[in-house]
Amino acid sequence: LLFCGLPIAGLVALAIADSGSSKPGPIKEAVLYEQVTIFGIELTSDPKTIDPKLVRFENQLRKFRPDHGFKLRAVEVKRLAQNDSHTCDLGGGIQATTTLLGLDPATGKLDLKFSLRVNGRNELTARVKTPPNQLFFCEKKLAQGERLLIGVGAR
Amino acid sequence: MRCDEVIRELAVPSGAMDAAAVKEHLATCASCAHQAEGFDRLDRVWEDTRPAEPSERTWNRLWQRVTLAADAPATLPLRPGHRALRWWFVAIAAQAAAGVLLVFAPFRTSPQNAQGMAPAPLASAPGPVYEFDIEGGQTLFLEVDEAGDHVVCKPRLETTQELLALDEGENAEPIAVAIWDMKFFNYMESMATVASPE
Repeated sequence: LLFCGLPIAGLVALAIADSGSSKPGPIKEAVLYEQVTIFGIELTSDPKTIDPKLVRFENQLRKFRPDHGFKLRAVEVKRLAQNDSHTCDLGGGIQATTTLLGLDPATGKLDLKFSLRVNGRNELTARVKTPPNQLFFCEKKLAQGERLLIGVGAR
Repeated sequence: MRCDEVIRELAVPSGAMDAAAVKEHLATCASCAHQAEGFDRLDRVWEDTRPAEPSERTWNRLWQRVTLAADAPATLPLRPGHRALRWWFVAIAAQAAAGVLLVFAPFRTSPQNAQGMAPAPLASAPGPVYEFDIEGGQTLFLEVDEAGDHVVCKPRLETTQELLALDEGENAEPIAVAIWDMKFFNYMESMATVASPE
């Protein structure tokens, strides 16, 4: 009892002493909010396919996957507070979830957790520290040579 | 009325331009109409997601605290003594050892993985958590594929240098992608449906 009790009593005393000497009170940390964008582009097996919404970036997309067509499945944006998540349903049982874990004040990088679920089953969890305004991608292979390109970015 | 004048007015409205003339131009110019639609979408996203303006009382309290903090004497960071340093060293060494185990343990159990990343068994609930630290100008790609009863994750990083190399016509490998820039991000964001608060 003495072994455990003394350190705990000491910690309590320290906490009380600290709370009394903190006038006018520490400035509360600003609440972190970031806008997170998640989108899914289906890379179809028919190279002629191009979604009208993606025509503007057709040349660049064809450089990336010359043998595929491109169809936008979903694009969603949400403002997240720290530890908030957003799940984007990309169709075909595929869901992409992004959680805003925090911001590293030293590097300015955002700490994001990305999860990919297929038919309710977790296929990938990645923790990504990234500068804001920068996309990262997950490419999921689908049946018959098709793929789903999932993009995530925050700022 | 020229297209650049119309776009400038739409981007930064001065109010000096005749609204009816702008409307007429947009009715006949598909390019400007398309851009105007993009501006509208961006405005809607901004309106739906902009942070709430703090009240005057909140501002005043905040500035009062900023002033108090600025006037307070500077506090030097606490320097740990030798004993504390020794404990820090032990803690860091233990953490490093745990990290090494986490990194190398999956390799031993997954010899079929040629890319050096541990495959995640489909049956296991959360699977492993991969960690990446990206620098400015790098683009991370995570390629996810099913291999038998496993999910394989192959990560790769592409850099701005590779994008430049491609633009210069050099034979850059892997094939770099010139779409992952700010314009693409802005465009995708402007097309987004704003998810409702939960």
